[in-house]
This record gives sequence, structure tokens and C-alpha cells, in this order.
Amino acid sequence: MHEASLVAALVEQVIALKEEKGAQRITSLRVRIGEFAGVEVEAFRFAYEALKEKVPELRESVLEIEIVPGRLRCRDCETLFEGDYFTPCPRCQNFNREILSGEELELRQVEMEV
Amino acid sequence: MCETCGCGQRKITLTVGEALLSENERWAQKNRAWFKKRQVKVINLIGSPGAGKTSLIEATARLWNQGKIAVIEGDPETQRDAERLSALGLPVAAVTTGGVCHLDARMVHQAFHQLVETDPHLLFIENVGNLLCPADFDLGEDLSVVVLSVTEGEDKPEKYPQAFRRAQVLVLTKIDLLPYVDFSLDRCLSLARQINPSLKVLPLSLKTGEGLSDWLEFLRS
Repeated sequence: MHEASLVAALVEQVIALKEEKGAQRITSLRVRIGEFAGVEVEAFRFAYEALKEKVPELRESVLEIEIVPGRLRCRDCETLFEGDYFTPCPRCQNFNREILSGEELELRQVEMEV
Repeated sequence: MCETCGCGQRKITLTVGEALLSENERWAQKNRAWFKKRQVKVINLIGSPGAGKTSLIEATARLWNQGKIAVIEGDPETQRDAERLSALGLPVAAVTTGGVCHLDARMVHQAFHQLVETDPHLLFIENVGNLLCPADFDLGEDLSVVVLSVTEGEDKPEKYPQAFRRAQVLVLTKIDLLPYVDFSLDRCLSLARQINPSLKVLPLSLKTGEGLSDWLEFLRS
């Protein structure tokens, strides 16, 4: 259940931005989560909904989650392909790959009322 | 302006693009610089409850003759493991996480304040027993080590890929039990190396002592 810790970090980050901009409250936030970042999206959402009740500035906010698909590149033949940790290069069948996306865990956008 | 009632409020949209764990990352960088300055080699042990993390530290401490060892011990509720290690005369900073499933870089920073005066050469961070969550949190360590026992099953790299992806070393424990369990070493290693082709693997048994010298030699290098 590290989703709760991730959400706590997210809330801290958002509140810091709110203070910095002198905003009143947060209306929406967009988070990017990689397909194989090891985050259970439903648990993440649940943790957010639970926490936002305790933070007045977030109470009206909407959480949007964007799932980032896993993209890889073979280090030997440069082939680009989709997949996860267990997908070999479709051309040379080996696992010497670079992960281009799919491990993201980031706050993308915040909308607030000032 | 608020379009509905003209109350003077307006909306702004900020594009951020910052990692959710960026605050942890800042603490981890701070730790890394501190560890470097103190010339302490730091090892983050990640593994399930009962994989043998505490026993591995105990066995290492008994045989180690290359300088002082200290331990940061993460435990969700008790200080039992910390007491076990203190009994060996090791300086231990216990971090009781209060149910939290992993250590973060700030906890480690605070814990190291308690140990820095002992001037350790080697610092073990025994993470909370959990193969999943600790993998996301950089603590500022030099080496991330997964401790996996053969009784847990060969499919663990497939189930918990993040930990194996982050680690430089896999210590496979309890290999004296291999004849009694359905555990294919080849299958386990093949899965682990799919995720992390450069992963170093050290199979050992703390019961028989087999493989322990390879682990010690690895730590010395």
C-alpha cells in the first residue's frame, strides 16, 4: 500500500504550489502513472479521495490519471516496441533494452482558483 | 474572473511535470552527499518478511574485519530486529515506521544522525519487510540488494519486478533448502535477468555457510 505514501507526497506538492501562487483552492490535478510503475491505480484513487476530505483546499478537486504506456528500445538493433519488463526485443529476442516510458509517476498539471 | 458570479476569482493552470517522489529524491541526494563525505558504503536490503535480511547482517557482522558496521533498522511496529543486532554490539538506529510499508530518504537521514558519531565504514539499511513498496524509494544508498529466499518461490521477480529492476545484487538465501522446495534456480535467474540483465546473483546459505565468502568478498570489492 505505498499508494497512500505517493498520494501524501502528491498532496504536499500540490499544497506547496497553492501557497506559492497564493491560490484559494485546487480545482483539478492531473497525474501521469506509467503502466508498469507498480502503482495500483484504484488504490491510488481511493487514497486520494480519502485524503482530500481532510484537506479543505482539495475538497472540491478532481483527480485525473493518465496512464503512460510502456515503450522500449532495443540497445542492440534500436527497434522500438511496446511492452513491459518481460517483453524481449521482437527482432533479436534479447532483453538488452532501454525503457523509454512506462515507469512515470509524476504530477503533470494543477488547476487552481486564485 | 469567475464567469458564473463575477466574484473576482480566476483559475490558473500550471504545468508541473515533477516526479511525485521528488521530495524523497532531494533527501536521497542529500544523504548520498553525506555518506560520501563520511566515506561510508551504504547498502539497502530489500526483501520479504523472513527472507533473511537480519540474519544476513548478523552473519556479515560476525565475519567482517574491514572496519565498523552500523545498521538502520526499519520495522513497522517493533524494535525486535534492532535488539537482535544490538546484541552483537552493532550501533543500530531503529526506525519504527508506524505501519508504513517502506523507509523513505528522510527517515534514513534522521536515523543516520544517531549513527554518524560511531564513524561506520559500512552501513546496512534493513528496509521494512516488503518486496513491493521499498523499491520506489531511493534512500541515497550505494547498492540496492534484493534478499530473496528459495522458500518464497521462483516467480518473485515476475511478481515484483520493480525491486529487481532497481537492485544491483540479488542475494538468494536458504539454498540449503533447495532439495526440499519446488524452486528452479534457472527459472528464477532467467526472470530476474530479463528485468535486469546486469544483476549480480549471490546464492548462499546462512545455515551451512555456503556462498557466504562470495558475499563478503563482494562487499570488500
